[in-house]
Amino acid sequence: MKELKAFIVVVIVTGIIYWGVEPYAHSVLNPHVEPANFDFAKEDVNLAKTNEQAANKALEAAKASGNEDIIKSATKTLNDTKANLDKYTAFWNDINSIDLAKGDAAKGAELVNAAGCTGCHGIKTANIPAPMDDRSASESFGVTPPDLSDIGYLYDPKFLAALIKDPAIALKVSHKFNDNNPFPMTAFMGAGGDLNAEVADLVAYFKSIAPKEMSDKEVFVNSCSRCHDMKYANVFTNGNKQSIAAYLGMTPPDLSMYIRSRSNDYLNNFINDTQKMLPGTAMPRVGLNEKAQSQVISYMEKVGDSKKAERETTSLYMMGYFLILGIFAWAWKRKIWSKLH
Amino acid sequence: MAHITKATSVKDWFDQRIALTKLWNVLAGQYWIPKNINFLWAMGVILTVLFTVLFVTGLLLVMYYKPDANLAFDSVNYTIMQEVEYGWLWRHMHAVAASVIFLIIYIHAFVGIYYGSYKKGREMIWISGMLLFLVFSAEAFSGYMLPWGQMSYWAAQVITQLFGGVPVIGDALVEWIRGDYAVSDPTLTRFFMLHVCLLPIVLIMIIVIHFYTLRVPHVNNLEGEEIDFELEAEKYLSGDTKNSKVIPFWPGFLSKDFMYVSFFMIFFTYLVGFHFGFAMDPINFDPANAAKTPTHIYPEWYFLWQYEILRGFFFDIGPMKAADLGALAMAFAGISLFFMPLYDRSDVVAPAHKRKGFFVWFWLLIIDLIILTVYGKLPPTGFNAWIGFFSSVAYLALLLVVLPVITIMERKGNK
Repeated sequence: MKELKAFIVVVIVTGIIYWGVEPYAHSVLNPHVEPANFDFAKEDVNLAKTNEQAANKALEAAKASGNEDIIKSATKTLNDTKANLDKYTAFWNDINSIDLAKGDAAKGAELVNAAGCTGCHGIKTANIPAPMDDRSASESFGVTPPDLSDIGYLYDPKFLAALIKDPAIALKVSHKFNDNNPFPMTAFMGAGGDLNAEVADLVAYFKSIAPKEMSDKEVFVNSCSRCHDMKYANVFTNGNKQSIAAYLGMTPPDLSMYIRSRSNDYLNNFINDTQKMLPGTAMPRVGLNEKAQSQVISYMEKVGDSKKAERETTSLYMMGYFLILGIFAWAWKRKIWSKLH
Repeated sequence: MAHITKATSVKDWFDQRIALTKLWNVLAGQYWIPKNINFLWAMGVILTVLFTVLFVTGLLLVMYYKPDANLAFDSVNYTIMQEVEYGWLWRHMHAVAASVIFLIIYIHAFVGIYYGSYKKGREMIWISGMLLFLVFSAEAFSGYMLPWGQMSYWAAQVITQLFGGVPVIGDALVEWIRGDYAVSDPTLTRFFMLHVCLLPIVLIMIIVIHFYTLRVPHVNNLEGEEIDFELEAEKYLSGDTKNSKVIPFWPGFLSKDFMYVSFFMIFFTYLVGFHFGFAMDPINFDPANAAKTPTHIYPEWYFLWQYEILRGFFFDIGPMKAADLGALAMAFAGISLFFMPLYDRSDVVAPAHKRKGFFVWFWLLIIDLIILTVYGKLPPTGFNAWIGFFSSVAYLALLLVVLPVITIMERKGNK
């Protein structure tokens, strides 16, 4: 029994060290964020509110410090977060007012041409080729504009509507683009009729031509690889790397090992809302729906952690082997010690 | 020359030439171990097993690893982890064993402190053991760098920079260690040599010395009892195995160890397959980038207490710069436990729970080391910095002041 007591002490001390170094320190270094919310209206307004609260607290702390410059800067940050909250609230209220159920796919098909979408984008399934090859397109726009055939599969109707109405806000890159430096994709100005009804028609059209099923790899290629490489799977960006780097301000990282370097959870939150995890980042919010996003992460896992299944079964076999060995060893020890005690 | 006669068996043939039976008796069959020891004394055998695992998996990894700044990261994360059959297994076993071996080293060392196994004739066991700890630290650090990830790169940058604190030759020393002005390809290749060649040779040599140091004073036991090994061995050999206080290393002690090792390996393979994250920092799966510093730089868990002592002295004291104070304190912490036989002024060899003052001191030291370890990972800002400072001072005080005082009191009280 004394031996058991000593063992328990060793386990407890080891456990405390483990808990302190891993979950505890980790939670301090990576503060908790609200989990990914695929209702983007809620996600954006909640984040704006959280930021406003944090700015409020920072201002109080600044006031306590009494330093004029810090107070000034904190006040400015607070005003910015307030403006941001108003901006997102107004934007999503407008999007929510669109009646997507009334969208007419046939009208949308005509609109695609009239609205000028095909000036930059191709739609393969509708036999509309992209006006430029990928390389030249990325050299003119920074990044190759996506083919629109499968966006109805990748995105929620509501997010598509938001994207069409104001891409910079929907993608959360409005901090980088303004009137002097406009976002490459222009907001849809309408083709003469009721703007919101036309947006609903476009969304209905994209839904109607979208494939029913896509492989994990296809989803990854369409959602991520216009900027990012995945060299361990021989997936490389189709555009000009230098143009992409100039457009984003840095070369987008290779994603081969991101499942390991960032973890499942981080990736899920980050793809869902880039600004929440990395404020100020140049990477747009991807805006995938829950299913498409899980496919992206599952593809990243297949590439970055390709031996997961083998690892888990092999380890189980090894544990079983040592358990059996341990039982034999225990029996042998009893035999030897029966003569010693 | 020995008188050689016609051999009666293969064993006899060898016996006449290399004294096989005698060697076996010295190494195992009549190497006497106290009967009164428990699983805490099995740590040495577990360490030997882990070292063997590290050695063998290391050899397998070296077959595919490329010690080149441009190739290292992919050779580990793609070639070894994904292309080589069971490459992931060797890599995970190597990484997890490297981390777990420190846990067991710490348990092994603190069992030695708890039972007073470092004193009265056993000083050389302790000193050779601490030497092993020191070289293992260098081995771990040089190996940590090889995958050329973000954290290993920046850890190398920070740790090599420490040598800049050496008076007069500091800057030249840093450059000499790195082979360049910053950590780069020449640093990687020389650390590769250290990790796979020089340090393992040194380690094996010290392990042999460490084993040898046990032979004369023998292993300590649960009660700190002084055993007359020759007398007890005679008892054992005459057939009175039940009353003898000693057992032979083989099969007595090893049969027990074999069982402990088997059960330990269940835990170990669980870690390898399902919980390797604790031994592999996620940040290290980003390739090294000299132009981008990670938000937080910290070493692996087993160096955190020393790292916190380095950061603990964060303000200048008199003419001493904070950085130099920290480096000095850490340098001392690294070798501080060597001098345990000197700090302890009492010659009582007994488990801590039979030495009141020492018992309290032991647990204070453990608590202080846990605090240092946890705060070594947390960002050193505000309140945390002060906790780091006080626990660093406490570490130095516990060893240099408190332990001598309580052991002198113990010695005087005994008279």
